Amino acid sequence: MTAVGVKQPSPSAGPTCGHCGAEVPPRAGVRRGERTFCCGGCAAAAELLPDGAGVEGATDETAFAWFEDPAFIADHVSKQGPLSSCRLSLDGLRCGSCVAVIERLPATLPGVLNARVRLDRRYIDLVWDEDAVGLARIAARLHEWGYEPSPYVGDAAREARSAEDRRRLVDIGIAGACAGNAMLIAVALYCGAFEGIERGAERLLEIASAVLGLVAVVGPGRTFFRGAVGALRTGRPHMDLPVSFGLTVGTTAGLVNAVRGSGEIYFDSLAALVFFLLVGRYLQFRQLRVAADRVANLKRLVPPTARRVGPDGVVTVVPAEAVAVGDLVEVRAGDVIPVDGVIAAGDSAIDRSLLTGESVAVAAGAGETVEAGCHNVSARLVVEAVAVGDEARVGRLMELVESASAERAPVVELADRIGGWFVTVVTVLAVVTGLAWGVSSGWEAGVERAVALSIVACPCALGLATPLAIAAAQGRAARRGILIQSGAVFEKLSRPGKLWLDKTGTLTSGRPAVVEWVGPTSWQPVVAEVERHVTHPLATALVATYGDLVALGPTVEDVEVSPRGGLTASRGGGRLVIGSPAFVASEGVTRDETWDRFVDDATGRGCTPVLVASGGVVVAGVSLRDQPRPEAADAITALRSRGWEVGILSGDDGRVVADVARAIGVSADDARGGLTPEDKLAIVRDSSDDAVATVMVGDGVNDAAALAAADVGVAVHGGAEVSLRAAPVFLRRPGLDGLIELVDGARRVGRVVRANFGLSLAYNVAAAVAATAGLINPLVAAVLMPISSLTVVSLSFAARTFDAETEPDAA
Amino acid sequence: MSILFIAVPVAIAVAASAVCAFVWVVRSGQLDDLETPPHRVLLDDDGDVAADSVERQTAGD
Repeated sequence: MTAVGVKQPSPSAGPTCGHCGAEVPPRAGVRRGERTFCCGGCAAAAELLPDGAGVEGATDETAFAWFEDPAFIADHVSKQGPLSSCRLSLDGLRCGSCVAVIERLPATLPGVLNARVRLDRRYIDLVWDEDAVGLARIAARLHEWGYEPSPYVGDAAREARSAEDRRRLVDIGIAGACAGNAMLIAVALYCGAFEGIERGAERLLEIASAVLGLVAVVGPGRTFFRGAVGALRTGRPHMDLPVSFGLTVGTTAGLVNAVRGSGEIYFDSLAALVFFLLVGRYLQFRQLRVAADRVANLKRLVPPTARRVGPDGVVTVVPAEAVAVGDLVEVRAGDVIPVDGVIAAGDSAIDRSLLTGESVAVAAGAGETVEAGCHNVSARLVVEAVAVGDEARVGRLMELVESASAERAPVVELADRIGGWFVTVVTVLAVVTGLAWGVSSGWEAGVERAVALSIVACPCALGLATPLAIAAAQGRAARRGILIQSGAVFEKLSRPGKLWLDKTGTLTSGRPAVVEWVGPTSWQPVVAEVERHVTHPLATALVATYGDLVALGPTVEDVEVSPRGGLTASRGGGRLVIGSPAFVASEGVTRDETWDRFVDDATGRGCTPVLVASGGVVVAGVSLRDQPRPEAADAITALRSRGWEVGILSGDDGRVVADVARAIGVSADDARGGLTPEDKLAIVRDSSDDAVATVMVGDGVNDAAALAAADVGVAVHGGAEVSLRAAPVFLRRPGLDGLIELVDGARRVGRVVRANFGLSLAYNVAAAVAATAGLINPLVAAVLMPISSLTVVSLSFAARTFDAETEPDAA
Repeated sequence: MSILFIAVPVAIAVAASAVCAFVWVVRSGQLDDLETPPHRVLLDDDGDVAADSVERQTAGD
């Protein structure tokens, strides 16, 4: 949602926003009574309208008291006199309405002086008067409007990119101004050469041009000299070498001629060269920055707060970093555990899928260990902290990711490979040409030929070919929901290789769904009614499947949820027991062989069996499983037909993995289950070789290290932030279709890059030959140069690398 | 043609001041965020702003 213009309801299915009319993404959106909105901003805006119902559901600000905790203030709030300022991340920012509503904070909440939203990075800068209003009150108001405030976590890399971005823009601005003005002066000089010009005026124009050219070469152009020195030092020639050679020779010769007052000056070409090359590099850099900004702030692994239990038993909400080892922390049902620790009190089910990839929540009781980042599914727990912050297992996994990313060998891109020797040849040729002509027809002719050669053979088009094609493709891919942070991805993916897929959350939806129901269907609505009382994923699946059915007969009463994996209720005098086979058995229900077989059968197929018992007898059974996504089988077939080898790496139980592999057509040998994050990393490393690319597709923290180690890591929709950081590609849309599109797009990008290369290389060779032979002077060379660049530019942007309309051709 | 002796330095000075302005704009961070300000334009300073700007957005299609 960037443009205000996109307001028409989309033709595709799905609800539209009750205020701005935009399509509401699945599983997102804000409900207010009858209406659904795309974001809190639209909901609040609708309420602020004259016919609106007024702001509903005021939020209790004590829930946000931790925003005024001394530990939080010390870290995040800066004070200046009576004024405080703070940057908060905001969840739920989507469109212009959000800006409109949030920036009204000063008008609606006395004491707030300023509120500025950054839509692309999803944060807000607040300035307020501490005496008039507290941050907790402001946070509560934001929450009321449908935004979830959390502390802003600074990212040093991103700040550095911002500074780099500014520096590059300044360079481009200076080079552009110099180039433009030098070209105007050049026009005057060329006209003068044909029409006649006063000697004094010509000298003036030449000096002005020399000043502008010198500024461009010495100022913004210094990057090339720095690069050239680096290239000489490492012995790996690249683009910067002939560019600096051309710049040096051109500047020297131009200066000499300007001072002498005769002969050609080259400063307009030189300034233009610097300008165009800088623009090419900036395009590439910007795509990277935009992609990185979009994936940032998406999802946090560990909650920013913890509910600390004091010695007197009072629970206070504190920032997570304020928890020390040995502290007791309360974790409510449905919350994410903030620390590694040992359960001190309570029984619950723990969903470790983020860390292990295991799709089924397992029961945990007092004395058992739990890890930060795990999801507490069913009941309240008190956890004694054993490791906090970076010391927790999540923190150590992040370190693993960092080291795996650092080890990844830098990719030598096509441009550098071909460019390397081309550059050497051109440089040598220019020197030889200069000397040869210098000896035979005087040094002036020699310099002219050498400069013409370095300008015309200047790898401008060559240098622009790859970055432009890649930048254009990155932009197109981003519009299709595929964010690509590194151009090397395209080259790696342009030939088929080995592709490893994570199971939970990637091949499957990550949530269980009903596979089979055995027994009279009349029990289905009853089960749904009972399960409505629980938030467990299995219960949610049952409600989703059977919730629309109408129950006949007596109503259900006295529902009691047990942390042991089931629940009991009474219905028309009879006692109803629903839950895992073990729970049902422990409630004194007898079951015959049929149901034993059902349970064994379901477990054998990787399903989770749930039994329904009434009056002490099992009456029905239902098996649930984390089902493969509907398009998974087709996607695997499509990838195979393109020559990719597909395998599964999962932390889940081997039987479950084998079953999913069968369902989607992956051979049993390539489906590996029961893996730790370290195992996955090892397998990905082992399968890496130089010939083919290794691709890892995953979503969780348990995949992150493998994602970082693979040649190309692809993080899928819904993934944790760490996996997004580790992977150079992020699929923003749910499902695996994006993967096919990525592979097809990469192949098309490869074609465009090769076409660009062929064209500019052919042009450069032809022009270089002509220049060596003395057929073109620097002026003609300077005209030819932008023509070749223009060809490459149009070719890159016209190529439909990532388009919905383009038929994926399997050629 | 002696007018050139004044015109060329003046032209370069104008260009230089434009470059200085650009450098200031970049350094002060005005080009960092190109997404939020277009929305902010729709905000007014007085009373019923949100409703007003939002109506304008919807009407603008």
